[in-house]
Amino acid sequence: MVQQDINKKPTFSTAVDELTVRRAQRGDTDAMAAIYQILGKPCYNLAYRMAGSAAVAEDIVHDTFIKVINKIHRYRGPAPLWAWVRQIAFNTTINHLNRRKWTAPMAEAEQIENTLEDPSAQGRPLAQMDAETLLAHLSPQARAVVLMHDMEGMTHREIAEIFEQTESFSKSVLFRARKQLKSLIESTDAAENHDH
Amino acid sequence: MLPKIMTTDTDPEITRLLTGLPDREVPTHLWHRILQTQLAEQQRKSRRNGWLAAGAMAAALGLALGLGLTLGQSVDPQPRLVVEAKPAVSNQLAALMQRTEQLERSLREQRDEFARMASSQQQWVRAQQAQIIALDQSLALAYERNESADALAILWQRRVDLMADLISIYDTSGGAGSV
Repeated sequence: MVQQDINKKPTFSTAVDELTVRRAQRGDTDAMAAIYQILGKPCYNLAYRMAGSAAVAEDIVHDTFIKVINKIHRYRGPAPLWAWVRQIAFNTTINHLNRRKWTAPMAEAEQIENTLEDPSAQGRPLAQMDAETLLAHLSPQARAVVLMHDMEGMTHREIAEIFEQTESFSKSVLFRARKQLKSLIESTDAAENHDH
Repeated sequence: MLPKIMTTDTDPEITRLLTGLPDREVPTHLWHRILQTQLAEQQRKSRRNGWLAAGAMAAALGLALGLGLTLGQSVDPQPRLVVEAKPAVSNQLAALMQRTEQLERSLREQRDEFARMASSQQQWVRAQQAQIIALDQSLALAYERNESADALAILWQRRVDLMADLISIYDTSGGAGSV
C-alpha cells in the first residue's frame, strides 16, 4: 500500500477566472457558456462513471448546470468554483441514483457478470476488460464512493454529507469496494497470465 | 495505529485502474438543451409574475372601487401596478385593463352623484358594485390558476361591461362625466 498522492488533482480542478465568474453572476450567457466549456466535461465524465449510462449522465449534467445557472449569484467562495460545481454535480447525481433506488444495473456490469462466468460468452476475455468495465462491476453506491474518494480526493466527511450518512458508512463502503476491485484486478491478471 | 478500514491509503492498482478510465466527450447538443430549458423556465416565471401582478392589481382595483364608491372616499389609482402588469399580458388584455382604468376614473369623478340618486338607483348601484367585487375575486383566482389569456379576457370584458353599466346609471341620474 502507498500513501495517496495528495498532489494528485481531482478531475474537476480547473480554475475559472474571476472575471468570468463575475460576468456569469450578472447573467452573462457567454460567461456561463465558458464555464460550461471548462466544467461540463468533467461533470459529464463523473456522472457517466457513477451512473453508467450516457442518457442518465446527460440528464445529470443538464440538471447540474440549470442549478449552477440559477444559483451562481449566490456563489461567494472561498472554495474555487469547480469545487462548488462539483458539489452540485455530486448531489444531483446522488438524487438521480436515489430515484433509481441504486438498483438500475449498468449494461457493463451485466456484461462483466456474464464474462466472469464464461469469458468467451461475450467475446471479451477477462484479461482484456478495461477499467470502466471493472468499475462497473461495483454497485452504483460503491462506485460513487470510490470515485469521490480515490479519484476526486474527497474526505469521508464530505462523502458522508452528500449521502446524508455517517463517516463510518463512507469508510466501510470504500473498504468493501476496494476489496472487490482488487479481487477483480487479480482475476484479470491471472487470466492474462494464463493466456500467455 | 488505525485499523485498515480507517486508513486513507490507496492501492496502486486501484489508482492505475482509475487513471485508466477513459474520458468521454460531452454530447454537443447538451449546452443547447440546457439553454432551452433555462429560457423556458425564465419565460414561465415571467408569465407567472405578470399574472400575479395583474391579479393583485385586479384585486386592489376591485377593493378600491367597492370601498371608494360605497363609502364615498377618495381612492387613488395604482399606476405602478398597471405598468408592471402590462408587459406580461396580451394586447387585448392590456386594452381591457386600460378601459377599466378609464371607467374607474370616470366613476370617481361622479361619486358625489350617489347621494342624489333615488333609492332604487342606489340599490342598483350597490348590486352592480357587488357583482364587480365578485368578478374581481374570479379574476384573482383565474390568475392564480394560470388560466389562458382568452379566459382572462372574457373576465376583463365582463368587468368593463359591468362598469359601463354602472356609469350609465350615474349618467341617467344627471352626472356629467362620460368616457
